[in-house]
Amino acid sequence: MARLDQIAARTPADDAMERYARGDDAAFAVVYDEIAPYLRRYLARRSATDELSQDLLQETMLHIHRGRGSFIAGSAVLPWSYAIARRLLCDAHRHHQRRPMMVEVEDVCETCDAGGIASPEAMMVARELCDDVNRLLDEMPESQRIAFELLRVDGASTQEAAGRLGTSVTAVKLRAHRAYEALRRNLRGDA
Amino acid sequence: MNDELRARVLEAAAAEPAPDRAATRRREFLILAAGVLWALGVFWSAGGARLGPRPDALVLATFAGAVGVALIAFALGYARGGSMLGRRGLVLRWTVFGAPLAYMGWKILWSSTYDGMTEEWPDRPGFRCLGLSLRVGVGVFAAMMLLRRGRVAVRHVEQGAGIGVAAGMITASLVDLWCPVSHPEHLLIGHVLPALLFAAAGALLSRWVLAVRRGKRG
Repeated sequence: MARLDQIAARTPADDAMERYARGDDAAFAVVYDEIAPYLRRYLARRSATDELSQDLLQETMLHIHRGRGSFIAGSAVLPWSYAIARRLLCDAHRHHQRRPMMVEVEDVCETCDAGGIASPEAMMVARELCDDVNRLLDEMPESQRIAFELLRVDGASTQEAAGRLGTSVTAVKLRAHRAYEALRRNLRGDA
Repeated sequence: MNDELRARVLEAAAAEPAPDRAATRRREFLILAAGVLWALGVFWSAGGARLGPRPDALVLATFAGAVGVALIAFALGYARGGSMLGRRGLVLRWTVFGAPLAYMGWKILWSSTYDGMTEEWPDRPGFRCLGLSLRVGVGVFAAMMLLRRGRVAVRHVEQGAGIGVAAGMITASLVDLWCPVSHPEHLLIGHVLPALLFAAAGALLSRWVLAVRRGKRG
């Protein structure tokens, strides 16, 4: 089975990154234009402030810039950039003693919809469930986690997710399905 | 806001030249070569290859097997397998424990086909080989860790362990030319333990040396 980032269909971002790796300095702007919008959305949702998300975007792009010489020909740049962004996000939250919450309490608390008021007991149950989900996501293989986050957390369609990751819709669906099954299996086991 | 951020990022990148692929490969070659030269220098200063009392054919076979294991450990534990996300965690974990066991199994298997070659040497429990392996391997280990400094975005702990065991297996193949003992306990202490120690060191150091971190140059 093809790895998530070892793709048959290459994206414009991958082509630009390949040119950049070979020494075409002007290609970095193309890489930025292709992947920054996705990274911005990803980081904005998971950062406490807009300033932090912009800083993290800049740091992610600079890591890509510094690592251009180590970019493997034929690999995909977007999954790599997501991994860097997530790593930097974890670092940022570690300093603030707050884990990056891919899933928020409001997402899992049935009585906590926007503007709703929940009992302390319901909030406590939701918070424990939220912690369990985030822990399971952390332990999940990277390919499944990215697929889950793009579909469930970022709200991307399977076509959009496949395009961002440079893979097939089938592959995205399969990885997301495995993530859902892993969450369902583990959460059901805890019940 | 978006245009301003874009301009800021592009300006920051332009102000900080980064080597392209060709320059990076030259740098990687030089650093790896330095690590290998260190290993060879320590090895030769310890006396170099000592073939006796083993038959030449046995030395050749065990050395070839050790080199084979080292190449596989390098491919699976250090190389990224064509992916910027590196090898899967399962592959790295199997390499960390499988490579030393494979080396030990190969060494015992071949040595057992010759009379007396797996007997215990009471005055050689393995600590001399342990010391030599650590001195020989530290240069290779340091070089490989340096090449990945600040670049590992996922599974940095497993990657560190993989790098360590790869360095350990490269070391074991060299020390195999020096050490005539194939007793299992000796092999564990003198040849397998160094690889596992390098693996542990790689795992422990991974967060500060290998992992992508904020404010840290990759």
